[in-house]
Amino acid sequence: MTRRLFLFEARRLVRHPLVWGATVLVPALQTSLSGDQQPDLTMDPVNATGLATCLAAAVLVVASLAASRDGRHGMPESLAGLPGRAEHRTRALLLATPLVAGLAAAVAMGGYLAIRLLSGPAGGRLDVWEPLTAVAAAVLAATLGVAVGRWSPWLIAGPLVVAVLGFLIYMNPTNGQARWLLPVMQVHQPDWPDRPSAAHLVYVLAVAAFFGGIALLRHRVRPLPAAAAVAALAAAVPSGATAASTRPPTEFPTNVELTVGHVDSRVRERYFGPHAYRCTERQGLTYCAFRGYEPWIPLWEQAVRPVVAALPAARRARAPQVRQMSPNWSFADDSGVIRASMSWGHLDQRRMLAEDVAFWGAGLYDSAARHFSPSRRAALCDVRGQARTVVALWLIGQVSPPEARRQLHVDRNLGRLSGLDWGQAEIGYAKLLLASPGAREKVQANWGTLVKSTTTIDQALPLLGLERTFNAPTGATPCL
Amino acid sequence: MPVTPPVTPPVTLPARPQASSAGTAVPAPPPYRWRVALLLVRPLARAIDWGPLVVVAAFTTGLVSLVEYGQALAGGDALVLMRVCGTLLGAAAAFGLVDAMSADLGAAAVPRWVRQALRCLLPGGAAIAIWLAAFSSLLTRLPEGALFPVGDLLIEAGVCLGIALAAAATAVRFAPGRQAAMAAVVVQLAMVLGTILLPEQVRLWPPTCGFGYWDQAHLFWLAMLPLPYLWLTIAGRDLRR
Amino acid sequence: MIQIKQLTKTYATKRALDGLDLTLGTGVTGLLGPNGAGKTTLLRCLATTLAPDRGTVDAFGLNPADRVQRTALRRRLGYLPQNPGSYPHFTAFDLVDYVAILKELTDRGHRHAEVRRVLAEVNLTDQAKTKVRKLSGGMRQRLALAQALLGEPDLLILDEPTVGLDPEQRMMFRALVSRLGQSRTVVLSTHQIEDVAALCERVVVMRDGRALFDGTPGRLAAVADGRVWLSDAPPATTQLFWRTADGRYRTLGTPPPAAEAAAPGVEDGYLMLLGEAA
Repeated sequence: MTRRLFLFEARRLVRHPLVWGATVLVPALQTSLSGDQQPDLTMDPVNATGLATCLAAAVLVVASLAASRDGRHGMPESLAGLPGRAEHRTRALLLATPLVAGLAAAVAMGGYLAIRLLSGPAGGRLDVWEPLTAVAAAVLAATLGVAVGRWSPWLIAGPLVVAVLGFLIYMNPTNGQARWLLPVMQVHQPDWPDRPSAAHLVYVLAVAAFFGGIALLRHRVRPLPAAAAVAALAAAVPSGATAASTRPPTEFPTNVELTVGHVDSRVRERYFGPHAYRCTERQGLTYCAFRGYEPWIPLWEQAVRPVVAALPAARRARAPQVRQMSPNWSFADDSGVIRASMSWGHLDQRRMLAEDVAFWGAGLYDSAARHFSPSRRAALCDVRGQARTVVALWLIGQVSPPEARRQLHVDRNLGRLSGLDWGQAEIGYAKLLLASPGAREKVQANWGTLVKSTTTIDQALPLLGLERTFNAPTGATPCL
Repeated sequence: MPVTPPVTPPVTLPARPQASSAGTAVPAPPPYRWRVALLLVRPLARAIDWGPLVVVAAFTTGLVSLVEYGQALAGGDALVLMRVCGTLLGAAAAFGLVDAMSADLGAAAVPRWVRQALRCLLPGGAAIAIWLAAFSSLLTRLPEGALFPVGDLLIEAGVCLGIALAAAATAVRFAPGRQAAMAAVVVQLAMVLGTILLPEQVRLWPPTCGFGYWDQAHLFWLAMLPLPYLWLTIAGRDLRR
Repeated sequence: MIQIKQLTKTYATKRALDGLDLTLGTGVTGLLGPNGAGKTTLLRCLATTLAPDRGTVDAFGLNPADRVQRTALRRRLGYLPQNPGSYPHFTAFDLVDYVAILKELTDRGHRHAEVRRVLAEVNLTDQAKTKVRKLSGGMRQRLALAQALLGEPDLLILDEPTVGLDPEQRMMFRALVSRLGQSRTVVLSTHQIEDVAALCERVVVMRDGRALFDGTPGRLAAVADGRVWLSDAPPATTQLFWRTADGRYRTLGTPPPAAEAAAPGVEDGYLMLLGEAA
């Protein structure tokens, strides 16, 4: 009887619009949200697990409705006279809902990861336990939903449980220690320590089994469900304790000068050790990526190469290394390297790499470094009216059109606003130069004059073959 | 065949033809809607399923008091708390729209919208009162000078309540039983999720309290606020179709 | 007078009413027909809760398609749906009182008198203060009937009103409905053919959204004249027959060997009619 009921419930669940709707919606939403980012095997499964919580929420509500169905529409009386007892129905639901929920989560997660892998070179390292946790969370939602439906007479109980769990999951921005007792840890960053994903997966599955036992115990205390609940609890406690005992990522202190010593020791081992980087030389430039992120090097090259190619040969020969680094590690500032972010794909990230190479090439970063000495007030480094600003914007224009200073997207938590200040005249001349035939030859021929901090735009116009079109005065306190 | 009114009706009914002094049958004027609505308040207050609202009210009280118990509450936490409570209260209020006697009352002289309006106002009003009480309690726990735009959160709560009621009012037109009210939860969640796909200027739940596109988003939703209530009005019309 | 002209209603692909024409006057009209014949759809159109796709209903000169006239008509009709609902935690009196308010009986004294009257009509005076959840199934059915009787409607629409009533209550119901039918229009649908035979002066047999028969119960019984037989052995053919309480076989249609003719009833006429139409 349980087998027949199981098939019946499984069919109903598969056909439930909330279940299949969420199964489609989750990968669609996550694909849309990460559409501007290159696939990252470290981050994508965690992000998708976070959103798969919506699928789990739908499953929980549907499972609780299915379990409480017996108590509605005058069914109790009709069912009371049948040989099949409520326990059979609960057992069937406990078999059907986790199976369908797990399959739905696997389809959603698998579909999303497949879409991501097909959408370009993937960086990072895949932790196989992470996507499995999304499946386990859906299984847990299913058994919890059945338990809620069996124990609570209110339809609103399912959404209430969803709200409580959703609130706790959402309000967990730093993966606090005891928070690993939650079924889903939706926040992660590539520069955080590894997650206790395997222990957490075991914990989630054990809790799912525990709630299955709790649902069955609603009918009467029988040895098997009671033993199952105790066994599940016995597995959940140590695995949960292991996961929960994981130290949360160390936060950087405020109001002190950061050093590498402030970095979490687990992260330091991985990212600051002698074998942290994999470096490649491509067309005279060195690119260093963290292990697993090597596939992104050709993408960085697409942003760097056109700018470097526009530099004169002498300058090109001294081009700095492009090195991947977390934007949070401000102590690792090194003017000798161009920093590639821990994520990749946003157009602003391309622009930032191009800016870094161009500003370095035109000597603007050297001026900025002098300008932003610790003893000085952090006023903007005013590079208006300087010929090298036009050259720098023209160099950037090889990758991304010249535009006004604005906040650029570094990653989903950080933005960057350049300390250099330029105006519309410089942008206008850079655009004219981009449209001018033979600009590269003229720039390279007059490079020495053009990148002098004292050369004004008006002085440079004849060298660049441009007409005076804009008024481009230098600032009152120019950054030289 | 002509209809003959009873010779001596046991009671004089307001809306039945009565013999006038001239001897011709004229219909008695129907009573004012507001008078009927006032009379309906008491029985409807008893007919409404208050269980979900009581459960959610208890939950809201617990949540608001226990989260970060005894400590000042960060603005971000308070923001999420109020959104969770607003959504749940809206969903719970939606259970008020489920009418077990819907089929019996299809032919009642008092229009359906009067009953459905009362079924929105009574639990909806209670939900708003509970939400405001939770809100004022949270405000006392915020740190000095914390940015917490009260009016904007009221807009969010108004949208959530309106969507919940409109979804349930639509669902009860097509499906009998209490589970029709669950449409409120589903539509609310789907809509909030759906706004993630929209530009930041029009997201219903901007993540940053008072920063970024917060103002634009809330202006947009203030303009959109009448829509769920308009929909609710349409969904409350006669079931005849 | 209620005139139904060319009434048509389709649900997805199923045509529930197919150009039905009917005129109803004072008296009790019974609707008979198999499940899905369109009886409930017709009653719902009459009760103004369902809009036909085509055709018109004209009740007392009022057209339900018009909003104002529909409300005016609703003031003059009582409707008992097929599956009446209730609020289990209300008392019987409160429930009927609530419906009375919805029938625009706003004066408290008059309304309560009317509630007491209809409860007495359905023999529920003693249960007035009893919670609905504590009433038996038959009592709930009578309570639903009481709601339909509120305000002495000119048109009373009853969809399977005798479901769940015990024989005594059915007798009471027949007495009540036949009395109401003397001065107003009563339309009821039922599968209890004996109810129709006992209290309806007119029977309409429906099938596939059309009226197969419209006449008195006597005329319906006459459809089976000379085609009802009693025999000691079952007929050899597959025609309709059943074994009666006295051990003999009652056959409709061709006489079995050694059969004797029997007087037809309304049920025989109904079954013959449906059998011929099939």
